[in-house]
Amino acid sequence: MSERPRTATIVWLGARGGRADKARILATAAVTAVAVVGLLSAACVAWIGPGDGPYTSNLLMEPGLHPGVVIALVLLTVPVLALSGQCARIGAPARDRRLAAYRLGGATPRDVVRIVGAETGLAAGMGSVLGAGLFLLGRWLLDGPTTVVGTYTKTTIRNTGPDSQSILREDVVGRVHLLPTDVSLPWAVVAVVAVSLPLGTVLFSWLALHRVVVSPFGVVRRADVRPPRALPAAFFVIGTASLAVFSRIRSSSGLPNEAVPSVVAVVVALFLMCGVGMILGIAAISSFVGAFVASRTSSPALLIAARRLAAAPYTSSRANAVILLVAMIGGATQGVRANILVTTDPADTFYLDTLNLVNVVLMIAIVLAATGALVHTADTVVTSRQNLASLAAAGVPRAVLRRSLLLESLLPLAPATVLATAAGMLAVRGVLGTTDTVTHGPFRHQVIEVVHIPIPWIEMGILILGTLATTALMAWAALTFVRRSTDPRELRTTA
Amino acid sequence: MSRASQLPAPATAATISARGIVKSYGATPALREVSFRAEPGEIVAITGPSGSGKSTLLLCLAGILQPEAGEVWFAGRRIDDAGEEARSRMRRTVFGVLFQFGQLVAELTAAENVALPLLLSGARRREALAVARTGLDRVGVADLADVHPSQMSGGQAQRVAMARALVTRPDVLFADEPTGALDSLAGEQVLTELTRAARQGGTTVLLVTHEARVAAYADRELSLRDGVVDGPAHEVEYGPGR
Repeated sequence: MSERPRTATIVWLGARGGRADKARILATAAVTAVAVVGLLSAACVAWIGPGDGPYTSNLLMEPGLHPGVVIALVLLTVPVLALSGQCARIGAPARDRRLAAYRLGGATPRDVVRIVGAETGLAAGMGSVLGAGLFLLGRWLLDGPTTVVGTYTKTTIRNTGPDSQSILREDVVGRVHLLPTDVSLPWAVVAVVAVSLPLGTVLFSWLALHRVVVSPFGVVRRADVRPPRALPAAFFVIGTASLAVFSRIRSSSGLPNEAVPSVVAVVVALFLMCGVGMILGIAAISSFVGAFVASRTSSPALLIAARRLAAAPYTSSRANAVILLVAMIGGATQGVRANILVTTDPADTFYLDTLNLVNVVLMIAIVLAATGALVHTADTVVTSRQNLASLAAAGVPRAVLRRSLLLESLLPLAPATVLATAAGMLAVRGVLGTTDTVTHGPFRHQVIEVVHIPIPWIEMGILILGTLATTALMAWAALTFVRRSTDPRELRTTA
Repeated sequence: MSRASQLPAPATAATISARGIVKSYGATPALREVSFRAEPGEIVAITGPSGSGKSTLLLCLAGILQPEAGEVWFAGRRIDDAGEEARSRMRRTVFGVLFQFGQLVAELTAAENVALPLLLSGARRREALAVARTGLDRVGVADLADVHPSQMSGGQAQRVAMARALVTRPDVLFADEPTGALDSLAGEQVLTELTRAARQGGTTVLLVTHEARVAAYADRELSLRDGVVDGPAHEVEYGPGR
């Protein structure tokens, strides 16, 4: 015998789980498939060449807009990949027991790493193959029905002199594609995307195992027992306040509207400070909000939620960080939207259509990010079932427990979402300015009007409330586990 | 001079010995310079009241816990300072481990559970399962080969666990309260199988128990109290398994 388990054994042990393990594998596969479709779609847009098209959407027709579309699609995969990380927590207690039992059966720590890697790789690999297959099948199936006779804008660039060009735009009727299903994507690109995502997922799971000790008696997480550091949270708050002050100074001092490099550098530095502070400081915000509310509330649900937050501020930080990141990007897009709507011709629907499309992408991103809250809340309910069962046995109504779990998700998120969206919007105002110029009137008699860029209060309000409502809805969906987890028999559960 | 250095050098056969073992959990000392030696094929009962350190001693000897001071030797090699990988490999090749409950993988059948140490050592599935079925037959539960642990009684699960502990024909079998969760009849069956394995296969059995009835199966008894050996290790009458 080789003294080391065969690869087939490792894969078999990795896939040999219960229902929760199978749910985790399927969820990881599904999320990876979505990410692969997103990335291949981005690659498809990036590969649109001069011979491809025409397309109904100007986003696909205008080569200058392709990088923006590609970035938007790639950014959309960020919450998807973050969700993949959250999926790893599905059925974690059962998996921990299984891994400990493997260790007791003679598996070495290295074997356990390989088993976990095999499970993750299997799930992500399945998802990757599924995603690539769906993408290629979708291209083939959609190419016919979505290529119809319609109108598209044809742009012709003519050289009118040694240093001048004229651009002719005309609406043409012909066969036009809704999607870039005609683009011939190199097989190497498909292969790189399909292979790199599972590899990345396995690498992530391997890194995550560094915080875990799998002993024959169970799995011990090297949880950070120190109180979270306040400095990153302070960076987040101070950064946002500085962006607000900077934006105010800029509008009152009459700084030029053009994006001056030094101004951009200051704003980008403050924005990065906010972003990094937000991601690293969300645990401190949870701790602070928990302690603040707990000492003031008389509501049992709020008290339980606040005390749990103060006691374990790190647990929800990963899910919350992704939601806040999306909210911050959302705030920035609303800032851009306000600027463009004021400075462009209302009759030209191109920009409005594009901005509406961006908002659709944003909504999808919020839902994807909030799905992480669903997984996190479900995980909290399952892993805290002994605690919940003891509270239920002591007479705490299940409705109170449900409310407390819901509030546990929302309490730190509410103030942080306001700050994150504000930081995004203020950063854009810092770069693009709070005023702009609009030209009216006929040629040679044009009037240049200075217009004020309004703060998009309504859009910001909708974004904040929408983010919180989506998160609440997702967390509420996970509360279906509460009834089973508060069964007094759970008091006898060993893990 | 410490007590550990006064002890004789360890034997080089499949003898397992401990010299001056110290282990504590936080501020609470569990073992205070405990020394011990078991010869090949010997059945030794480690006894003592709750909290006396008997399970901790067993876990240190099996390489599951690492002592803070002292040495553990097996077959002429010091094993307490070996890495986790090496100690894990020992547990699936030359050691067998049997606990009170909870050691079987719930998702695997009885045969797969027994085959696990062989599979982890690189054996082919078909061969490992064949050996596992023979092992299950030896402990009288061959009919449970395709049954999952959740569908077994406590006694049946413990027999399957014992088949797994013995499947690699270990030199030393560590059993921590192996009958603690069983009724007296099932407990007797398990102990009979244990002593038979020791007698027929030359396996050393280290048996942690707080029951005199179980300790009576051993050749010798080592009694612990408050983390130290309670008087010199002494011989007891041979139990019914002899």
